[in-house]
Amino acid sequence: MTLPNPLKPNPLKPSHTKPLLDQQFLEIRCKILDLAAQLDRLTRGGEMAAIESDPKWILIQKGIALLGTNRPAKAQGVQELFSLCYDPNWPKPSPRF
Amino acid sequence: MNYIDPHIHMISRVTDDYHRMARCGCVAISEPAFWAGFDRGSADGFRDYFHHLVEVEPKRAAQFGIQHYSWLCINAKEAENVSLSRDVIALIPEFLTKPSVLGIGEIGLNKNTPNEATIFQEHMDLAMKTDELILIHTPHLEDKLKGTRMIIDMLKNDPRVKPHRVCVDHVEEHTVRLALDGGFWCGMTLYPTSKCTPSRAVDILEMVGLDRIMANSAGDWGKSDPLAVPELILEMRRRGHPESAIKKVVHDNPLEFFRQSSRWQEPALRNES
Repeated sequence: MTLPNPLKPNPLKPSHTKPLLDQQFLEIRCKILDLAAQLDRLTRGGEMAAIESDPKWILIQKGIALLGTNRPAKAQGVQELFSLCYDPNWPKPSPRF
Repeated sequence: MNYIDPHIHMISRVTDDYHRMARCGCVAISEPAFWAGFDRGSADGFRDYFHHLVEVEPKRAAQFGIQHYSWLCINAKEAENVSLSRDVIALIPEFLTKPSVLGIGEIGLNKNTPNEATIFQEHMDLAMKTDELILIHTPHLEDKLKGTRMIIDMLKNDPRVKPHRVCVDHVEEHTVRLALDGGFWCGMTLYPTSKCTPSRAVDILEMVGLDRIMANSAGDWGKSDPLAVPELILEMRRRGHPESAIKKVVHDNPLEFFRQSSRWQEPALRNES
């Protein structure tokens, strides 16, 4: 297998935090509000006990909890949370030469 | 800015979309063979589909000055039917003489089943035998991380595979480094709900850099935006990223990957206005 070309340093600089917060404040507020309204909708259905052990509801709760942590790469963390497990010993097909 | 959409299913789009894409600067697209929204009943259905991809769409695109390229395979979803898949794979070589065909794709996994893995490997065997580029579909949502790892396992398990001749598509935050660290090209799909938004795609670029990465709309028969790549361009500009960086992602990188195809013909360049 050919060795990969090394990646060059990244020329893209992310925006500074303070101006980014100023710029995105309303958008973030809107997304939090949307999420809150979605949770309210579930509550108004009046059957929260019925979903208590539903894996989807458990994942949503874990996802919301993850956002409140200080861990970096929260988007990657959410993606991993909502992913199935991988077994490195899965039976692989063989190439035919 | 001139751009290339390296993954879009124009067979599912109206002619007006070609018009709008051309007005936004689209100079070329590549269209992988995919699932039609239903399972086809015979290999003949695929023969007609491949004819459409290599003969009909290039003419439709040419009306708007867009160069049309394609990729051929049986998609991961229908690959569950091994017998049909083998009949379709046997059809592919007769279409590999067409100048607009870039390689084998979009092969991959859907639900990560043993049958899908078998047909993925058999597509790879064909690609290695005929020296084709490979475009890979990675699964959706909860299946993506596991499926991407399985795909990379199979690629690394085959010593004939040259990573720089393979593009792992639909990468997101949790899979992009798997592809790049393996030396493969990768594609980010800008697609509502199930894949990347333009903002998240630019976040990924800020995290991993600009090498061996491109962006596409994967516009198809579902809810999707054939102008998603221009949305990425706008988002990069909004964040103040240089035009040279934007051009690398939306034009130069796909071109660099496509140029490796043995049948590649350099399109006439359109002047930037």
